[in-house]
Amino acid sequence: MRIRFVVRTWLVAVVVVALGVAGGCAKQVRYGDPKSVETVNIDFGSTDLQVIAEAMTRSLLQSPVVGGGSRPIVTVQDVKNKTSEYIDTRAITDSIRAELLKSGQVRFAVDEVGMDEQIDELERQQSEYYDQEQSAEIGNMVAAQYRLQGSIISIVKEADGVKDVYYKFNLQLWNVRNGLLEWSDEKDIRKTES
Amino acid sequence: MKSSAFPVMIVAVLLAACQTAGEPKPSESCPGFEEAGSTSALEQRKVRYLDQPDVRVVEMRCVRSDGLLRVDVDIVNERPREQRIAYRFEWFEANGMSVDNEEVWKPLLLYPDQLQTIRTVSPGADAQDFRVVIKR
Repeated sequence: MRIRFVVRTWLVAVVVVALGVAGGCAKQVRYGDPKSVETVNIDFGSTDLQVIAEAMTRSLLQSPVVGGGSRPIVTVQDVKNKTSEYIDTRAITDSIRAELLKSGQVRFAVDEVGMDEQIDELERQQSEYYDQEQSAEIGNMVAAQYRLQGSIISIVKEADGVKDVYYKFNLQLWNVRNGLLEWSDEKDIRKTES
Repeated sequence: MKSSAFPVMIVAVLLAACQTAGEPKPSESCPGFEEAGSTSALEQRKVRYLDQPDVRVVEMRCVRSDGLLRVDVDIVNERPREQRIAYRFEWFEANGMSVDNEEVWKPLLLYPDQLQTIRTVSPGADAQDFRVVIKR
């Protein structure tokens, strides 16, 4: 009888302690400012992406090709990731494209990534299910006058518990017809973790 | 030939001098300068400090070109040691409505007593006015 009482008391105590620990460890969730400076760790982060996209967009807007008011047609090509870490460079060019579109100074032609979907849709509209008078005809797509391409590199150094990362993002605007480099700019970022 | 060219040169020099004197200073080209009346009043209107950073805006310059507003803001670190701040610009249309593009906070390292120019350009032709926000 006494043994059973002791076991039951211990069980209750263990459950109470376990519940207390679980409650104490519950993670808190909060919304944050997506534009704030993010320094969770030294890896390429949201602030780096946004700072690069903003710097490149503002620089492009001042270039003679884009700022001249002719609303050039541009296509976006790859930004080569030459760093040692995984970076979704498409996210950077998507941000640049969105900002440039908002400015109203640039038009974008379908790029390599979206080409399959564009062709699929054009071919689908040629089927008997669509009113052909309203369907988009094949052969009317507008070619880009300029192409955007770039690269990102990093230099990483580590010693005595200090890690230093230097990123350099380079973007170029090439004239498709004559192969001239019409604009280029760079944005560099240094981060140190200790 | 020489005697006829001399008066023309004098007139040209005088005209050039008048033009230089008539050009507004870069700070006077910033939107809102006329309402503010002075450079210091303009800076009070255009600059917001969050969380009391030890910096001070000492000059602001604005130039319009190709429909865009280029802005330089000179800030000085008032600490005798390094200071990390963040800043961003807020843009407004001519009617006072805020422009859709909300800028990212940009981190900036200032060395002791450093005078640093932060440069930007408006995100589009609809952005006619601005405010710079600096936080610790």
